[in-house]
Formats: sequence, structure tokens, C-alpha cells
Amino acid sequence: MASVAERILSEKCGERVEAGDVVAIEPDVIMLHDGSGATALRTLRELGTERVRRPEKVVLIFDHSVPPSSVEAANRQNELLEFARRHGIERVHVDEGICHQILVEEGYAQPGRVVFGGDSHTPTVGAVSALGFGFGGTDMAFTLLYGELWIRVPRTIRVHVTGELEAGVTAKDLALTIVGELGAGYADYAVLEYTGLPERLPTGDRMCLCNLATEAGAKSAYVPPKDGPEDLRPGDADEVVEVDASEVEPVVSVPDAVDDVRPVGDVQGTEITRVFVGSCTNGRYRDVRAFTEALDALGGPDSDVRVVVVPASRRVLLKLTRDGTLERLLELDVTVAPPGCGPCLGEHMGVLGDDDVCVSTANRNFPGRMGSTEADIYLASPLTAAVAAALGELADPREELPDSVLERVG
Amino acid sequence: MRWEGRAWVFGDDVDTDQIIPGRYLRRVSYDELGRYAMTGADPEFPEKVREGDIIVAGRNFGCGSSREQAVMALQQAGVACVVARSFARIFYRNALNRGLPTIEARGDPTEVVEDRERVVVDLDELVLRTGSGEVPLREPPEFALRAWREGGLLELAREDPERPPWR
Repeated sequence: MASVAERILSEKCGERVEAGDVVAIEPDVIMLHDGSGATALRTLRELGTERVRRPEKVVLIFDHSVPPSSVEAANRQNELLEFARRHGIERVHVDEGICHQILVEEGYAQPGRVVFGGDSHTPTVGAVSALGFGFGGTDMAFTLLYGELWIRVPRTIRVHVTGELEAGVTAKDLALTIVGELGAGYADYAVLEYTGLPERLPTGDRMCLCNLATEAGAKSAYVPPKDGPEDLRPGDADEVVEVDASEVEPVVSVPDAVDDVRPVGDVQGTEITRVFVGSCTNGRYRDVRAFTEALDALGGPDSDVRVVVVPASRRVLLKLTRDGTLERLLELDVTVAPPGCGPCLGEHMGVLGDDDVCVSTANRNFPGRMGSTEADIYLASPLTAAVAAALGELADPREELPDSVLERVG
Repeated sequence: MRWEGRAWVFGDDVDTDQIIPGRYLRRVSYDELGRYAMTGADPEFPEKVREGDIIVAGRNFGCGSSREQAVMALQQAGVACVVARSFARIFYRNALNRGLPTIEARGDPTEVVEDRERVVVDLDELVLRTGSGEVPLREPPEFALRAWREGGLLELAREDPERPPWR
């Protein structure tokens, strides 16, 4: 039996295709953000042609540099808006949130759909059983021009998760543990298909898992829909990796590699200066809520730690506002920035200096990712981030947080 | 295809933030990226690199962000080609589109090539030669060779924008 990815892509091609085949695919959704959109526009100019074959499939989302962080960024965004108007692109989301979050919130990503996105974390939509592939600007320009793009049908690596996570251990710890076990390039050219426990996790946690698949090199990621349909349930896999969730501990990716994953206990006591909570990995309502409750339980941040929270979308921010979480964060001396990618890519809203040591809930800790190449970035769960913010150093949330909090938010 | 130039050696998992740090993406124009090429890994690189130089790296070169500026920056800095043990998928495609040859080595070329050493990359004989040794290269797919020769899929599309270059 073919893999789910093979079945979805066969359906698109109108004939049976297999892993390794090179095929032209017409995606259901063509996603561009302010970065890849601008690069795609540049390519169209280089080509001397400007055509959008399927404007109704295009979704344009400004999230990387919002509100604009420079004159260059502002000009490029204005040009993109003008481009969208010229070509009848109506699905435009400015300053509303991170592209992967919007794709799910707005329902553009649906089970069995194929999403081609100008962003490496496009596999995040696998959380709702869509098949997302990331590309650079020129490939996205080609997709605008032709309505199709060539890809190689990926093989499938299934990560089957047994057992349950213990209190204080989150989907982020599971996701990082998997990246650590596989390694940064292990899943290159493959779909990571998560089965078992991930199928029962909330959407946000599934998004976290699929998001970090990119850091294992995966071309796409996928969690089967819990209740069928049958053709979207798991089929064959080229390889199966088993992970026991009950053995997963709170972990961090230590500088400067996402796949250098260690138990928090191994780096306990590492002093930190910054905490960033947000991103397409962990900027959702439950993440910020868990962070806030944990931080509150520990009496707020250490006086030497600067904390920035960036909600993944306006909807998330609204929910946090309505239930009082936003107010609590402000009372705890936390800075809350507008929805978007925030400082994750070293653009603005909390760029790191040479001596900074940051605990981030995002997905990359490469040298210079958030600013200075001298700065250190530890990737962690919102709970581990809260504990680090409160203590001014890394520590195991299971040791520091009261059981009542661990059971409620862990 | 054949290139001869000085080699600049980098390790495994060189990500696109190292190739072109995010803080420059929206601060400079697309034509000025070369001045910041590889500065995430070596701040002096733009001063040292010369037209025709060759980057040699380990596994998973170009992982991370999908930013195509990584390829533009290397090309503007004068890099002729990249030889690595393996490439991350999106970077490989971006390079194919813009005509930057990305050649896979058999084994780890960083164990053989010394930084700044003159090397020859010969795709006819599928070998990278140094003064003292050599590294066998994998045969690139035919469509990649064709794209590199023409200056990338972008160049092929420019010649006939009506027809997808893969059709």
C-alpha cells in the first residue's frame, strides 16, 4: 500500500506516483510571506514577466518584518500589496500573525491538501493532515507563473510515539528529542509522519512537532487525521522510528545546533539574560498560557532577565487578552510584542547582543540567528522558559514548579 | 564543467543564517548581499573571497531558512561552486534556479581539502583535486547539469517564460 504522501500526490497527478518520481504538482494553496513574496517578485522582474495563473490559490501573509522594521522592508511590503491588487489576490493577511498559524487558523490548510509555501517551516500544516512543502523565492515565482512546480515524491519516515508524556514534559520536549535522535539532515527529502501519541495531541502540539521536522531536514511532515478518512490514514513507510514518550525528559537544544539536544538537568545553572516566548513553534494560546501560569507560580522573572512574549497571531493575542493572561504578563513585567515572527530571525523586537544568553521557544539556535553571532540560544519548552525566566538560569521544570501547575499546564 | 580556484572550507550543517545573516535581509538591497556573504560563519569572508573561489563543506550545507538570498550572496561574492558531502533540499533547489553549481562529494571533502588551498573541480572526471590528494564526486543529475550550464532554471525560463523549464 502506498504511503499517505504518495497517495495525496498521486491524486494531484491523476496517476500513480511513487517515492523518487519527479512530478509537476499543482498545489491547492500557494503561500508567500513578506520575505519570500518579495524575492518571488524580484524573480518575476528578472524574468521580465508578471503573471499569476491561479490568484485564488494564493495566500499572502506579512509576518517576518511586521510592522516593517526598515525602509527596505516597508517598500517591499507596499510593492507586494500593490502586486496583490493588480492580480486579484484577495487572501492577504497583514500583521495578523505568523504564516503557518494563519494557514491553520483560517482553514486554508485542510486534510489532504497540498500547500506550497515560501518558507522552510511550511511542513507545520501537517498538523492538520495537509502536506506542506517549503521553497525559496524563485520556486514560488514559478508556482505563481505556472500554477505548478516540479518536486520529487518523498519517501516516508514514520516516527511512531508510544506511551504518554509525564507532567512537566511537553510536545516541545518530544519534538526536540526526536530531532536530536534523528540529527539535522537525517530526514532530508523525506516526509516525517508522526503516529501514535501525536494523533491524540491538541492541534498546537501537533504543529510544534511538524514545525520541528524541518530541523531534521524533512521535506514535509504529517499527522494522520484521528477519525479518517481511510485514504488519509497511514500506509506504507520506508522506515519506522519508535520513540517512547514516557522516557522523554525536559530538554534544551544547546548552542549552536538544533540537533544538539540534552536534558535540561545537564546544563542546569547556566545563567541567562533573555527569554523569548513565541514563534511558529510555540507562540500559541496554550504555550503562552502555560508560560504565564508557570512564571506566575514562581513569582515573576528574575530582575536581570528581559522577557519578550510574541503571540503567534492576533487571534491568540485576543484570547490572551480576554481571559486576563495578557494583563497578568504585564503585571509580571513581561514585554508583549505584536503578533508575528518577532525576534526569532534576528530582525527586531529583541535582537540579541554579544553577551546575551537567550532561552527561546522557537526552532533555531544557529550562530547569529537572533542577532549577534556571539550570543547563545537555548531552545526549550514554554515551561522550561518560564523557569529560566524566574530563576535567571536553566533548571528542570519538574524540580521547580509546584505539582498543581505541572498537572494543569504540563 | 570544470572550475579552478581557492577553496574555503566550512564544516557540517552550515545554515543559511550563517551564509547570509537575517539582520541584512531587509536592510540592504538584493544587489548588495555579497558584502555580507558567509559573515555568520566568518566575518572576514567578504574581504578574503575572490571571483572563482570554491566553497567546500561537510554535510547538509544550506540547511535552515529557505531564503534565496543565501545563493545570491554567494554568487555576488564570486563563489563559483560549492562542493559538499550533502546539501539541504531547499538550498539545492535555490542554487539550481540561480545557476550556482552544488556538487556532492563521495565522503567528506573537508577531511582532504585545506582552507585557502587551490583546488580543481572536474565534473568530466568526477573528481576534486588538491595539491596532495583528491575527492571523488557524485555524478550530478542530467537536469542539474543542464541548468548549471545555462545559468539556472531562471535563465531557461527567461528564454521562454511561457513554458515551465521542467516541461
